[in-house]
Amino acid sequence: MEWVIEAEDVYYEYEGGGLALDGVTLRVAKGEILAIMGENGAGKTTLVKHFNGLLKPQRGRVVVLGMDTRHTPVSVLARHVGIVFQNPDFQLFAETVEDEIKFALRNFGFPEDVIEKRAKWALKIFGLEKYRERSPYALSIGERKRLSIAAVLSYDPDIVILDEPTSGQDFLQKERLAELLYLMKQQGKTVIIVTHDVEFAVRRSDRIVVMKAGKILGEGPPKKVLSDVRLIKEARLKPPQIIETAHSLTSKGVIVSKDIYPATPYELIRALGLGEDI
Amino acid sequence: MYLPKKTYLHRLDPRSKAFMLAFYSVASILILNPLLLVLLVISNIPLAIVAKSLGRWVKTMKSIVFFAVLIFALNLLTSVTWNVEYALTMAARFVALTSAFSIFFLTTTPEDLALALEAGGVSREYSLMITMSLRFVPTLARDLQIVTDAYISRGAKLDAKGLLNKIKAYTTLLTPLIVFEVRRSLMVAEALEARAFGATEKPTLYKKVKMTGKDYAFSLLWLILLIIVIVLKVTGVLY
Repeated sequence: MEWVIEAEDVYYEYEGGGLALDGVTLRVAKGEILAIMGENGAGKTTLVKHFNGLLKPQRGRVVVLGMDTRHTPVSVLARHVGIVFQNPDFQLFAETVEDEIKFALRNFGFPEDVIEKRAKWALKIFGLEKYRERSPYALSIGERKRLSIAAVLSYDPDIVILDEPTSGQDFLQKERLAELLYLMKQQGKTVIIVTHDVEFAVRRSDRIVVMKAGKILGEGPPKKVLSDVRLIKEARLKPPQIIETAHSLTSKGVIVSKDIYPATPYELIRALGLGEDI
Repeated sequence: MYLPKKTYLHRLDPRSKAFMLAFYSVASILILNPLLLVLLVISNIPLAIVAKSLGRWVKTMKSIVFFAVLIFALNLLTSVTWNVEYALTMAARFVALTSAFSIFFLTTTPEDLALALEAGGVSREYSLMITMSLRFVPTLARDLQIVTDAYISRGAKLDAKGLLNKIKAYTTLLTPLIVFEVRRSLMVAEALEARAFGATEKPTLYKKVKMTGKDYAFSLLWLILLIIVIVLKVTGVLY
């Protein structure tokens, strides 16, 4: 296994109190889609801010692609680690949608023809072509969110971190995003999403890490983690509806699932013994 | 910013503390001797100790060092005669003013300030405007941090070389910040209206500010000091 991010026993306390990370150890493999989940204030965003060096660990260390973040400037790490923050309104700097996408490309000194090509690609893939000349602030919140994602994916970082990428997106956009994440995975990119969207995480991630109060509460394959009722309850998450259904069906003796509950309608149907060709 | 504590200074009516501010403001403008101005700043230390806020006060003072140096440098560079004392005075005046205002705001809640303003005849719209702008200072600082994080995360550099590039970098940062704060103020306005702000011309108050004997004594002390400074200035003792 090739690790692209290795966080060892990371502590971080914000000025004025508030221990945000209380000894986090986490390794992220190349090419995986990792979902970080947990209630508000669990330390998820603080943790991912360590991955491009915005925050430096006060104790422990974070190594990203072999670089110790304490000794590497953000501008170097940012080229390899792209972060899309939660609120798009805080990350739109340019006068037009097209310039917004070119912003990072120019900062990293890409040649002009590459910038043009990448911008065109990003506009197309996120359905923003028709807004090329518009001000980013004239877009709807969902479009602004997509633009903030497009602006980061355009420079093709090895690791992409998305903070709440599905909020404010309709089903179709979520599916498109999921496809894109999968495409990136195929290209050997690593994707980390911070999310409350359990349905998205259970279907679209390879691994879930659950955090609470600055600690990692549990981790593992999505279905396994979200089937762990005790863990889910402690992390104050709500399991996907199918898992919840399967859990109550199991407790009523209708179906029998031990550790892992069915997570999709098809799996549930199979578990109910109703065949597979539905 | 205000820290809730139960001290003599905290309990005072904001109006009596306003006399203290008046003294420090007038004194720092009338006094032209940088050493005396420094003395003025030092005189804030016992006040900070009484308010049990010495640590916070020191922190505020530390945070303005950069601006004080900037004021000194700008005044020195723009003065035709290379007047070091003048530049020192301007910087010390700034420090003295900030110091006194810091004591005031460390010991006065925005709510009390609003009540005192209203008791002094200021309309509710304006008192609210003042308290809200104070209330949003930390929020703005937090927003700026978020914007800065997003900015450098996309490979932009804040420590660009050359003054012009620096200014350019910070102007870029201001764009999302201003747009967001304008949006936020609209949201606040709507929230205020949704909660029937302004429905009654003169709403009754749950909490009232009241001047007590201690307040009058405190006010009198600063009033006397204020008069002394003015008299000294007029008679030419202070120059």
